[in-house]
Amino acid sequence: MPTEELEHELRRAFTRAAADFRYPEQAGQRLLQRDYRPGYGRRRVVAGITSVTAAVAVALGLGLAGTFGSTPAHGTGTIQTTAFTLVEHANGTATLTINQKVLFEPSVLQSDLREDGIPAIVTTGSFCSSDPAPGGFAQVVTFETSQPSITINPAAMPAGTELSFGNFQLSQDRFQTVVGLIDTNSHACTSTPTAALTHGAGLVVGRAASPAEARS
Amino acid sequence: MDWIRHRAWEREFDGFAAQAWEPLLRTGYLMTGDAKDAEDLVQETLLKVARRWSRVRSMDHPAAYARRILINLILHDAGRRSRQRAELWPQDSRAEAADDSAARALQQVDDLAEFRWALARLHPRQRAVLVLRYWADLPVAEVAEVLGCSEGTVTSTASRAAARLTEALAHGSPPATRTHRSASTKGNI
Repeated sequence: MPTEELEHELRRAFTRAAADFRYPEQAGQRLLQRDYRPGYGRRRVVAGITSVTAAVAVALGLGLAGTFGSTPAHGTGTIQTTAFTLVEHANGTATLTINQKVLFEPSVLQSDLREDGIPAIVTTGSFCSSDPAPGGFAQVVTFETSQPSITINPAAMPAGTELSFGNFQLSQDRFQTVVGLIDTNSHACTSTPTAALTHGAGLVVGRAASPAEARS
Repeated sequence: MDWIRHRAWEREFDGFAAQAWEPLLRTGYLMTGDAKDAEDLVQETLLKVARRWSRVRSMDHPAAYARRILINLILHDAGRRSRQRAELWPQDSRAEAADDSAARALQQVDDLAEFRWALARLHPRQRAVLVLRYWADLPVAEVAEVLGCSEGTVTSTASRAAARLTEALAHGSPPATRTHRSASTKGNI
């Protein structure tokens, strides 16, 4: 090990050399905003973190990634995956848009919904429902027919209820999501979504709701 | 699969990055001598940390983990180019300079460009030992952990690296700065 005097001089030299480094003013901004890009066209190919996120999700066919870029303002924000987009609004509601060509990862949607204050159980290949179904579905979930989007108002959810999402594969590249309101302590799951819908409130995302589906 | 997928975690990562990016950038600069390379490497480091944030967030010292990633990236990158540089940076036959003369050589450096030039002449692992030990101020044990070697190796490498650094300062000749230095009054750095 170098002598104490030499170590002292080394520390001084490194401190000065590090302090003398004037990085580009934009460097910190780029790093903090995750506006990553290849460094001046040099050797390294560093894609933007957002595009890397998307690429990872696409490769796996799963919705895994939160949206990057500037940090969402408190109370609002977007989670975007290949399978779904969840937009949290300032009024406490959230709009969920589902890609009907991708089978989503249930645990990811479930945890993201819970992050937005929406208790939910999410399944694939099955759908959970209560019989009788709790009332109030129409106040909790609103939708536009033929649009793969629903708007959820968690404040309207009766105590002791949660939303149920069931994702079903209809063909090789076509999926269907069924949504309903269930009693947290009393529900059952079935692999037949239409049968489940007859038990009570619910709808099939992206399809015009039948009277049974729209019933609250 | 690890990734930041919760907004709360994303905010945590943002807070971490706000604290970590500057020391990482300076470490990268001292290691590479190139601001653009340093920024690239810090980008890559933060990407790797972000991908593993679900695990990193629970660590006692996420910054230390990020620094280790950065150092390993630099060493890996340097390894690919080491053959090219070996011819440009021949081994110094007088690397075992006495410590007292080494300290004097450091004291006499008046141009930080010379110091960076001399630093760049070291083997990347030698440079890593000095940067971690004397800039990051890590104890020997921690340097050994970062580099995956024994404490004895860190100690001996630090001695050789310091000697070689100061030898380069005393006897080397960087193209532009040395010409200028020869006519200048030397002072402490």
